[in-house]
Amino acid sequence: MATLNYYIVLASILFGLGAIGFLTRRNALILFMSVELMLNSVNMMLVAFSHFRAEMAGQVMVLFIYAVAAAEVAVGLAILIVLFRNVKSVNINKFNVLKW
Amino acid sequence: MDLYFITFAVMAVGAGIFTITAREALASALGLLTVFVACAALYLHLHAPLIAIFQISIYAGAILVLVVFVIMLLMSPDDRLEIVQENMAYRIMGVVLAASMMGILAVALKDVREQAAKVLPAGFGSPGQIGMLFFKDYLLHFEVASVLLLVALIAAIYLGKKKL
Amino acid sequence: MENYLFLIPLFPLVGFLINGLLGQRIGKGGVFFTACSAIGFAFVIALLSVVELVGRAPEERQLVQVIWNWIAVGNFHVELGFMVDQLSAVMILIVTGISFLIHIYSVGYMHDDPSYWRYFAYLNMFVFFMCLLVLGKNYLVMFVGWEGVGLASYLLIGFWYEGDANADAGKKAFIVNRIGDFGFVLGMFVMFMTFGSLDYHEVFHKANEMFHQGLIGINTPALVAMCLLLFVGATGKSAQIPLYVWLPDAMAGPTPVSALIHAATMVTAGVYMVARSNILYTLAPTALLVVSLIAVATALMAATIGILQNDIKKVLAYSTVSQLGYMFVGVGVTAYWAGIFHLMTHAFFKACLFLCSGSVIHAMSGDQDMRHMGGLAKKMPITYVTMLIATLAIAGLPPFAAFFSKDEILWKAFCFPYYPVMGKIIWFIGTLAAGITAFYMFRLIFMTFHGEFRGTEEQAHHVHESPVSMTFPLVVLAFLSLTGGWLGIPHLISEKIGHVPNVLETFLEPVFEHSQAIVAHTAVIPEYSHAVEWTLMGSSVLVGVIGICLAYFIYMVHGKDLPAKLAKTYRLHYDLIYNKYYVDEIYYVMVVLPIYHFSVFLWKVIDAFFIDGVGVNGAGWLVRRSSAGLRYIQNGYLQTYGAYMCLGVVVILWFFLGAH
Repeated sequence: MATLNYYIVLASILFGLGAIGFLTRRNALILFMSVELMLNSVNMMLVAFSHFRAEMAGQVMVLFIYAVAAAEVAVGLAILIVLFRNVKSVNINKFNVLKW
Repeated sequence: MDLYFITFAVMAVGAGIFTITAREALASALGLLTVFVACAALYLHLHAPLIAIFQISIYAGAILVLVVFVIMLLMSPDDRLEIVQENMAYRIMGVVLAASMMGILAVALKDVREQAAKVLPAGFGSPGQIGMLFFKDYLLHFEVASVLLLVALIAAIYLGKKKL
Repeated sequence: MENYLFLIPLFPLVGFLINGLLGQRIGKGGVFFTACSAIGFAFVIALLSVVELVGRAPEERQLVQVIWNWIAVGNFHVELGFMVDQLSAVMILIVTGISFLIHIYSVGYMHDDPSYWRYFAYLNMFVFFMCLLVLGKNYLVMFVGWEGVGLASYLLIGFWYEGDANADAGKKAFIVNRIGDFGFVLGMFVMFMTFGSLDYHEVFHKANEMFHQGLIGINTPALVAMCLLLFVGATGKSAQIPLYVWLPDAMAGPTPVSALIHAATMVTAGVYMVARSNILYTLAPTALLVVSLIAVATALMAATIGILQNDIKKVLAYSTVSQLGYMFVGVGVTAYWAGIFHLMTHAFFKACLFLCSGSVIHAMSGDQDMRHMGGLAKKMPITYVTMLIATLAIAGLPPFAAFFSKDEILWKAFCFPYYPVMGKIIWFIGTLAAGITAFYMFRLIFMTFHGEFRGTEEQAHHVHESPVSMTFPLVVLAFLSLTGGWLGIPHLISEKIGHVPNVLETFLEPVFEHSQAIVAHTAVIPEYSHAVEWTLMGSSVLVGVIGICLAYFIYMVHGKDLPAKLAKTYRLHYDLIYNKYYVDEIYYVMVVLPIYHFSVFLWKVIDAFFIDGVGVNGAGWLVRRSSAGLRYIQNGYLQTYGAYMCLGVVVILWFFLGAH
């Protein structure tokens, strides 16, 4: 039987993978996908805790995270499209105007 | 050993690695899909069927579809970006940071005592129960979430206009 | 009457407020009436208080009124209270009486001045503070008055402030006074440390007790320090060496101001203070010696400067410094009542002299130079007669007032119990100075009133006797100069003329009895025969007469050419004395310049460079430079920001989980 620790390790690994992807890739869309991966790992953690502590609150939180993730993706992709119209690229190294 | 868990865990991790290292954006998207499905399966194992369904329908069905649409929209097939950053410093820094995060968590977890699994009440994780929670204890959060979605909707529509 | 003591300072204060705030609106008559009646009422109340005081038995002659508890901090208690005992009775009568006469004089003198309301406001304010000084029940109330009269003096000296010289004179007076006040404050600190209080009753009672119990002896260091520090304050206020330099310059103010403040009242505050603290000084003979020596040196030095001055008021100013020296000699040789006696007679004749000189200046259309005067006796008879009476008094000729007081001081100096030898020396120098005093005062009379008029035609036409408002006080003061001394006729003479009692000495005796007991206890009071006393008395009269004759000889008989010839022959001496021994210049080089350069250093280096440059501007510069460096953190790349966030998460995780 997989105990809580296993699920925590799994979630941590997934989170780490998402972080690596976020920090090392250049394509903006891949960045988005890495962020979704991180969110997913958090969901995994929440559901695992909810199961092993027999509390429903964890699953409710997960549903809210779904709502937020959906909203975030919608708006984020819309922004990306607008950016693309101006910069004509999805290379995030080209999005560096907001600087000193 | 819990075979079910091992299978889907490996599947999730492997797909995750594939996602962040794939050359093509669409391949990344497919990898992500696999991660979502694996997670959904694990949710089923954790007595959270509603969550599993939502995982498939929202993440795989809506979010991923949206991402794929945008990939199709924005990237021409000839437009192949190198997969990683030119700057070696960024690459190394990113890996180091992420690895250290995982490492710290791992180290911290060494001392967490194993807890005996609690007995789950009947109907745990069923839609009925979640619905009751939404409309009794978490009503305000629920309403606020709907407002959030409304705001996101408006924002997306506005940002999508031809002339802002 | 005890409950009404507060009215004595209150009336002048109200007068000051009314004249100061409403003076321009109530017109000349209103201002004059307010000012004079305020002082008049104060004088009446003072008189009534003294009458009540005299009505009591000698042991109980004290009226005390406490207004409220001013300071109560830990062990330090100070009340705002007034006390009238024999000593302050004499002082308050002098202060309010002469102030009243001078106010009346000022009505005539300042009649044409556009700022008369300001003048009377300041004058009333001065009387208010002087009353506080004299009536105070403790050293702190006295100090409030002390400072306040310094302020009034500054305002009145620089009354005609349009000229730089007047304002500078005012500033000089105030600053030099402040130096003295610093010593006074330190003296108060030592007093509080030694006795735990600043109240007259407590301090003096404790001092007496501690002496009789053997806790403090003669010349205890704390007492000597205390007395010397208080005396430093007195040198500032009462113009002794080394802080006398402000008094001659103070003649820039209106003449009634010079009469009131710098002759009769403010400058005597130091003498009053020493007399009030008599028991402390008696317990510290070293301090007494210092006081006497400085005083007699001042008396001689100021007298010598006076013989060559040409400004009529400057002569009188140096004469004041000299006479103050006499007063301090009196209190310095433990003859406290003699010092107060001379204070009283000096107030009479010096005020008279100043007011007469004001009358002369008025007649001369503002010219104060005696070389332009002469032969005014016929045209200004009242002024001439009153001034002559006052001059005879200051020269020390009997039966005029100062003969008795000066003689008493010199006699007591001769019999100085603590330092007999120094006493003789002080007597000798004092007598010499008395002769010089007679000389230069009669030089003044001869140059001003006798001989031929040396001024311009225009001035000659304008010379006239002063109005009644000005001559009335002159007459009163001259009368007092004649008769004032008869309050203190010494035993020697009173025997011959039918046992007239020495009113002043017996009246003031209870104030000084503890001191006299201590002196009798610790030193041998020399006994001299009557013959010695007669000889000394005769010698002081003789010296005065010689002075007058010498002045007559030089200025009247050979008035045209002898003074100039003497000046040429003794060129060096003449220059030295004429330039007041260059004291002002020495002070400028030794004190003013170093302070000035030090201040410039403090300004340029410490203030401008350190505090402004390094501190204030430097802080700004530092912030600007550091932020200019730090802004490159924002390089616009999303992944950099993400990396920072991850770093933060790692740090937090490390912090919270690393404890395990």
